Amino acid sequence: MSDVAELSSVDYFAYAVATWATGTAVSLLGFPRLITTLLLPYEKHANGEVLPKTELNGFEKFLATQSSIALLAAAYLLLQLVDWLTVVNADPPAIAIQASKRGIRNHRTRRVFRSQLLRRQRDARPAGQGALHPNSAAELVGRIHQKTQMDAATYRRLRPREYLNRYLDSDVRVDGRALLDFRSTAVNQGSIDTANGSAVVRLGNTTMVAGIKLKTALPDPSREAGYVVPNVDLNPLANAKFKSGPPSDDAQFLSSRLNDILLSTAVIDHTRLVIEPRKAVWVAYVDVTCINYDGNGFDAALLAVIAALKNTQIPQATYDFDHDKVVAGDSTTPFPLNKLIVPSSFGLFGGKLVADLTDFEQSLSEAQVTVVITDKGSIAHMSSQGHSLGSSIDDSTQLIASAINTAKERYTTISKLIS
Amino acid sequence: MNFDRRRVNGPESTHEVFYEKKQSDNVQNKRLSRKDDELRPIFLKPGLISSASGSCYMECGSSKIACAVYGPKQIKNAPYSSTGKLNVEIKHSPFSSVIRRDPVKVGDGCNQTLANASSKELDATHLSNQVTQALLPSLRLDKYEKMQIDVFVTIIQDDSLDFGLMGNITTAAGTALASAGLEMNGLVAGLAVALQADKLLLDPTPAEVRNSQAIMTVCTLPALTQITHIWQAGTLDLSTYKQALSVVESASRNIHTVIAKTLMNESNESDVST
Repeated sequence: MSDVAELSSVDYFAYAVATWATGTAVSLLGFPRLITTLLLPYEKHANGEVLPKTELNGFEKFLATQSSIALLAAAYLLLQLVDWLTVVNADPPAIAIQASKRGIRNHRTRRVFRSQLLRRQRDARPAGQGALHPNSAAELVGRIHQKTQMDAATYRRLRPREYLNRYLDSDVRVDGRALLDFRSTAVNQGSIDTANGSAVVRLGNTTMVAGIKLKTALPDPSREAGYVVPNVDLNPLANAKFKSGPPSDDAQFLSSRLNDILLSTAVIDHTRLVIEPRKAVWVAYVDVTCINYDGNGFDAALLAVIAALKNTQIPQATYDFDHDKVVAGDSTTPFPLNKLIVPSSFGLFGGKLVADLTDFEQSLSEAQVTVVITDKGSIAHMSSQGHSLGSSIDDSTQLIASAINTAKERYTTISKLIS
Repeated sequence: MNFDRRRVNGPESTHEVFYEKKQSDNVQNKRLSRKDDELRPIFLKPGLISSASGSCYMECGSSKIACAVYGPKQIKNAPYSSTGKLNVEIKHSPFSSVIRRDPVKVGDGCNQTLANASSKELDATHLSNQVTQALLPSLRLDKYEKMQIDVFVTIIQDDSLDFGLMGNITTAAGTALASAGLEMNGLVAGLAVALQADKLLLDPTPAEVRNSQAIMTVCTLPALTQITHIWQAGTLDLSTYKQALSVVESASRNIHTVIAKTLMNESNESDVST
């Protein structure tokens, strides 16, 4: 993009200077003569040749000057038209940035750009602006236009941090949410027949599918307990930044965090996953596939896991000592969950706590806090990543308190969605 | 054996559960509810994946397929080529089939574990080659010099085994390519037909595939009445083959209508919203 802008603006400048210089030179030196040749009356010389008049009278001189000025004006207008066409065809915001960087010395160039920018601003500003709430996102976009004279998408790309801060300074998010609002959340359980339990969780655009497959295995001799094996797959389908191949660092981090939380919060009663002591236990493979990724993958993944586990029915199984295998019957029991846990993740931007980050926000946040709330509003888990939380102890305490309060509210809304 | 330090690993060896009553017994004769040349209803939803250039979610029977198209984007550090490159990657989610597909084992051991379930299942690389072949004639790759188009497919649930699955993936991927606004010759529709006891069964279920003498997947450009790809297993005599193709042709036209309608609705909706 920048290549295009630089090329055309340099070209443009050189072209303008060159034409101007040529024009001036021609008009000062040769033009009157040229015009004379073309327009003025011819005279027949004594030797019979027809040649233009060499001696001009006052009226003829006046005519020559006037027509050269007219021709120059026409040339100038033609140039303007050509320039205008090039500006329309090239990427206008890119040129505008380049132009503003250089400070545009050339008067004519600036005039062309100004008309362009004015037009773009007028197009971009929403109709009926006065009626909008002062904090609404659309109004903000309009204001950004006025300040920077470039369109919002370009500004977002070139100066993402400043772009985001303009919103956050007014306590509003890019998508119009308040700072502590979560995106709309939907949970759909049991839609996959081939899994023993499943859930699809949508958190705004982020979509995670969790499926549970039950298998049996020999128990670990040291402890009589079943296995729960969570894995997250950040599919290249979900976002352009995910690559195919073995699990990426992000995916590994997510998987191990899920495993950590499932173990540390004691949400699962592993001892009830035993089929026959020392012979057979259940292994629950919890696989989470990301279908669409737009930030806050952890909340979506953990919610999907919990909802899928809630949805899982374990067959009533007995161990067949004669054939050394597990035989499952028709009746089932629900998966042994001790409680419900609901995660809430927050990001920190310049001392402000922001809930449920989108992918764009997540890439710019200074720190992230996750609070996992369990039954009766108690905290089951808390973690933070990134730079320090707040500038002082008091600051951090306040931030954490506000995160916990929001997470508790979130628990009440989400626990109604999971059956 | 299947230890991978990049994943959370379970116990070393695990076993599938044996059910006293075989679950597949009750789905044996499902054809009673639909005619031999009747398709299962198809649900298509383009534009579900927000960051992709084009995408499509498809349900057919209880198969669930998500498909995303990224690109066309320039291939870096590659020699000049006058045509674009189509790259199809297919992935089964581990819970997509009755027997768990272990992501660690995919590519080597997967087929052996699945051999009990069906000998007609193949791994994803073979499947993606087939789908690439089926999609290539629909795309005008000469318009995308030195570019690459990525098609990612994730199978969330598989209810048709590889032959039917390949047809469904082709339909979904074709729709996603169209929703990405790429230059195309036409919409692709893929469809499987199985020969079982002298009857041609369209869009067969897994049980029907297992009991069939021959099965073939035909991918077509219904608008141009062209066949882009045929994949066949088992033997068919020539007259049955012709009969199968004519059955597929009329059914493909129906699929084409569904795709076209879906895309039309989608573009109308997005016009209204912007």
